[in-house]
Amino acid sequence: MNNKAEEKSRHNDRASLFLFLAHLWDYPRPELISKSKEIFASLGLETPEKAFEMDEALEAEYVRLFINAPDGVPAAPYASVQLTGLMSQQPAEQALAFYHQAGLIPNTAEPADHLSTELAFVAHLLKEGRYALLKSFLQEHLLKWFPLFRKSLEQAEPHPFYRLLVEVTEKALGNLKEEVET
Amino acid sequence: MKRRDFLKLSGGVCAALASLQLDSKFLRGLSAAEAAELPGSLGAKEVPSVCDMCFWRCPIVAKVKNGRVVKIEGNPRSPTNGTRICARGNAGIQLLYDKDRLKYPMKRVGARGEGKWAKISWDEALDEIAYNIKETMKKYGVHSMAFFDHGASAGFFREIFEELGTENFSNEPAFFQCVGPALLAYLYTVGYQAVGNAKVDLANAKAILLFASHLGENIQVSLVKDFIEGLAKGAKLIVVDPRFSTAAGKADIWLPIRPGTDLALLLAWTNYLIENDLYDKDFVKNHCIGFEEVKKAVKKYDLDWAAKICDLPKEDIKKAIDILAQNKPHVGVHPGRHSAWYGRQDVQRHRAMAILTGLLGAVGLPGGLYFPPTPPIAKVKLMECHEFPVKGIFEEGEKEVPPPEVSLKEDYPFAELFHGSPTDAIIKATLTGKPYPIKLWGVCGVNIIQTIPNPYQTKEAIKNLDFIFCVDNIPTESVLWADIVLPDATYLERYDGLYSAQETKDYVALRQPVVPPMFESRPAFQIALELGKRLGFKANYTSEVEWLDAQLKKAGYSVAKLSKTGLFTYEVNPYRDRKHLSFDTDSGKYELASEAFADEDFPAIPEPDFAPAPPKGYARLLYGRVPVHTFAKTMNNIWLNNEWPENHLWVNDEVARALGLKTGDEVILENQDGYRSEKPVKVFVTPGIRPDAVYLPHGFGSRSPMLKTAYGKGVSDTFLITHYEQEPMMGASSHRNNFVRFIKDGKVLSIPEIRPVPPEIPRFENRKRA
Repeated sequence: MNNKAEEKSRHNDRASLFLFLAHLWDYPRPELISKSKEIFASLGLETPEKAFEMDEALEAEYVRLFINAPDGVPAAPYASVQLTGLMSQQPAEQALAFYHQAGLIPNTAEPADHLSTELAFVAHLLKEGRYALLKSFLQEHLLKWFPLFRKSLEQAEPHPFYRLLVEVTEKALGNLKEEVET
Repeated sequence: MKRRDFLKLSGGVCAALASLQLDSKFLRGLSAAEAAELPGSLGAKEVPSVCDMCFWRCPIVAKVKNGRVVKIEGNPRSPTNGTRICARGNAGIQLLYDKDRLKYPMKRVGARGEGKWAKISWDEALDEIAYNIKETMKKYGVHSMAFFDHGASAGFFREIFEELGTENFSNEPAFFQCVGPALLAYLYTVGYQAVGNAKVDLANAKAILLFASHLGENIQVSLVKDFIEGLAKGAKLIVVDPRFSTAAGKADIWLPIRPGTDLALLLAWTNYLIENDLYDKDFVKNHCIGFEEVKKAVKKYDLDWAAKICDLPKEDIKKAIDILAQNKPHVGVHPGRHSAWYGRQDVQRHRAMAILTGLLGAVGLPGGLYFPPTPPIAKVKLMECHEFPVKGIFEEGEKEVPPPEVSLKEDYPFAELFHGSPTDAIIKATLTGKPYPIKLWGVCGVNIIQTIPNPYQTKEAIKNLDFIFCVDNIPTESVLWADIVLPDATYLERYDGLYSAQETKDYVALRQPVVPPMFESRPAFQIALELGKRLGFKANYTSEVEWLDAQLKKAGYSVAKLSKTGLFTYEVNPYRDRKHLSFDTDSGKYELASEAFADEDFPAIPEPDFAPAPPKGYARLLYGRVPVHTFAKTMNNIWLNNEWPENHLWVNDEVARALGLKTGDEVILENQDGYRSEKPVKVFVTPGIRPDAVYLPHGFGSRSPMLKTAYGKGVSDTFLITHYEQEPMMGASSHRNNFVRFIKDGKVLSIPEIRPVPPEIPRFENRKRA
């Protein structure tokens, strides 16, 4: 295998990891939660059994963290809310503009700047090898708000699954950031 | 582990990930750039629709840029509001983008009221509701269900409950908590529901009479426009209100009446017009029945008597009625809407307003009551129940669900005319199982906890239910109590019915989606159709457009034709030549005396009936509106909340002086039943309210922590309205027989009685307080 092909396959692998993370940030699905234990372990993370129990408590926790909660959701998974305090403002338009640059239209009922959609976009750019666009998407958009999201999530004392998921996502994005910058 | 190594995935993992075949979340395609370089709303796509921030429903134009609603304006083609909309209409954008919106169907996983939910699919949610409806019908019969509804979305569900045959298929707060008594009064005098959308021609009146009106504090754009137009053209204005309201601020004469004594004023004015030959003889002679009875009945009520009962200067009362008489017949006596005030007198008080209107001849001509137009659209039925979902409800040969042995309307002979059953009867039946049990509630578009008097009782009733579901945009107090929550699409995301103002100018307007529904919210039309399917209903139309086209065809329009302009206008004839005047009443005349009322052993002509005076040490709690909010519904809207985040308590200046209170001081309110406000409220000291009353704008004091913006701001009047009485003819629940005193720094402050109460007026006695 030559270097180029090797790199392409590596990017493809990572694309599938980002797409997987994207789906984990959606409402919990039992088959993905159980798969994530194996994947997180292979990434070298500690994976306590408790974090991967798919039950009503995990569902209620997702609702509390991201959908509806007393005192407002603690960790709104939207660029716009993290950056402006409001839903669907300029950061959402910015996300949409990035998607359009790649010739894509988001196929989801959520606002365009949902974390899940943005991670799926990263997966797409990796797969297509659009590194320049990936670099600007990370620098000008996703990494501007993701740290705020992570902080607000951690402050909400989340279920161990989401503590783990945000850690994995943070590492994966951090890794990608280093790479696109060099 | 070095960061760089983190993403080194093993072959096995990669294969595992690939095998999941996850959806990419994107479609390929290019969307046209929408002039993103232009600032603000410039270059935006304009989509006409209809507002739903309040029930007035003004035609609007929404401006959409890159899929985002950036501005809302009035539809310039509308003959009523035109380019104008109110603050709430502007702020519709922040309902659409409210962070606290309901986003997915959910089921309760905590206790009722706790607000602990898990997301479920639409199928699961609707299956669950259909299952519970069927189970409840099987176990307790069809009448064991009640539907509480308000607003545009509710109608679709109402059709289901009505078709299933429950007599409690609709319980609109708009009726049994609000407009019901006035509706009944005018229906039996004029023959139509004169209080729908402003059936008084204020724009052309030469004199206007208002009772406790919120005009200007409750902005209904076309109505306020007409009011201002009338005043600008020189109309004299008389405002009867214990409070110096916004309308009173524009009045020629403000009559700060003792609360609950309006009938004394109305009867004395009626007598004055007759005794002094000031009434419209032509109208009375040719178009009214019952004049002689009225004349006889009111003979003993003179202005001196009214002045004493109402605590008003006689010369002001006289001046006011002289102004009305001089300007007859172009006099606008506006009945207002909310009339569920004191219970027993509510229908008769509004009857007295209608009688006064008749004596002034202010009917069918400019300035008076007008005849509302009927929009040229067809009424069609959305769905029909082909196979009744539960066997054994019908006896052999029966076609319809039999009525209950004892109806919840039993005690109210005129309740039959209207949708559903009195709220109080539904709540009592839910609590006691009598006369029959109610075990399932559906709630759509109404926050029942902040609407129905005695919310403590409402919550107890909910605890007795086997099942309750809510359809709404935001997680209100009521939604917190639901077993299943359904996220309705907002009015900017859906089609609905067709809207018209039915005023002196009219249109038929289309509500259409401005943007697609966000999250998994769905238009009520679709939710109801899906629920209907599960209950054996067959839809006559499969899409909103098909259903709307069926209604529009008769007028030669279609959704496609209306989508660009948003509305069409048509010719309206609000006035009548007196030669051709007729009324849709039993007699065909304007009924000054009501035989129908007498037949049911109610007075044919209103009699004096006064609300009890406050218990010693208390002031009557009055409530009202602020112009930037629609009840509790808009409190979580960040723009509107920013404009008016909390309410203040109006306290009379003499009372404040006696108690040592000044504007900005905080007091806790305690009502006659010992219920206290959830927190202190700021006092606003003013001579603009009588000393025997205080005033607290309604809708504030949200108790749903899910509404982050609104939660805990201001104080809720509804939670202090724990005593209510039933209007005896149609069963509305009264709201104004509640009284408060203050608690400051832990000490009880009793309200001094500055205006003496004459012996004709009873004093409120509280059984509970003993």
